[in-house]
Amino acid sequence: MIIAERKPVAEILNMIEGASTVLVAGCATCVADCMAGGEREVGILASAMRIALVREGKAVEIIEVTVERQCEREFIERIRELVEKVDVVISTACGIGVQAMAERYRNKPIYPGVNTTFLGLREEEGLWTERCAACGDCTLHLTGGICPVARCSKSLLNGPCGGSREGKCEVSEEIACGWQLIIDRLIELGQLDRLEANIPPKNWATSRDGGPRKVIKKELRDEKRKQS
Amino acid sequence: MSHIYVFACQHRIPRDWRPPFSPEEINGHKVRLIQLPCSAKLSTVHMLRPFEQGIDGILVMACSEDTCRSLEGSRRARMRVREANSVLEEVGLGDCRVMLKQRNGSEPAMYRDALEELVAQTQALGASPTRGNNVT
Repeated sequence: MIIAERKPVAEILNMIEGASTVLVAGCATCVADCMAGGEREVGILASAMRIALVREGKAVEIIEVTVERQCEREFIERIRELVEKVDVVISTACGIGVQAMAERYRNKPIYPGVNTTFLGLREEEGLWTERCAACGDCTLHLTGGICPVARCSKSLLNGPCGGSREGKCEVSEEIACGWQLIIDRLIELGQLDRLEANIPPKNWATSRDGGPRKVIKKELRDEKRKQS
Repeated sequence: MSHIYVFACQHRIPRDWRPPFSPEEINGHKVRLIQLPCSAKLSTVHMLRPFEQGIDGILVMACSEDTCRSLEGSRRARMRVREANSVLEEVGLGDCRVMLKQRNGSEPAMYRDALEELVAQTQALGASPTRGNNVT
């Protein structure tokens, strides 16, 4: 899922300077699971904003709403009435949700309430870690199901490097060496011989280097129907 | 007079204090006692909302973690209290306006002692900056 972290309240208050009504709009999907921008976090953020604004002697109405998924137009259309009656929207969805809202409500300032951080999973209570860099050219079948791009600090496709010490990365003792994890996993699978194969240089055009990306499934597109 | 909200697990409320017979004043402090089926029912936002209205502090009375009848309830309450204090600190109200007491008893004296400790802490921080914002 997409992992995010709430922005500091002070930063959010700076964004809404001058507004008299603000909608805090949450998303009940990824950012709810990582406890950054779901219904629960919308309540906490809205309450924190109200307290901070009262302290500053400002009268700002804060309205709360959470939609199932802000990255789906059908869901965000349902809050049109609320969006239209406020001056500013703080979206606690990921960057996709914020942009979906901005595209849908073109005359309304939509500001981010969270920092979208990475694609990862919940490792334990209160801890989320990165698993995927969305590079567009998956090599997990070669590396025991552990991603060298996301989990090696240098994103080496052939490792480990000389900075690996007792299973830890030279960047920090708190970071597991991604390539040590790959080796351990290949041993478990009886596939250690895969290390002998050199993984060729990656075509990074499928990643960010190729500009904004697009996935097209021609068979699912209806040319006769106007897309909205 | 301090204004304190008390959220209490039903197993930690003195028999004579159960709603609708809860005291509205303890040791000279205005109190609102809210009974919970378990302290785990207390969410972080439940602890923040009253501060919008200008209360001075919140006391959470929970069971000891090893005796919680919901197993995880008191532990979850502990983490949510920590989160509430963290948010309150971020908005300038200090990091100790919400106090958690995990006990096995349910005597009024336990409440009186905890309230005095909480009031001393909140008074050291000064009156709630949101005071006067329609406390109910």
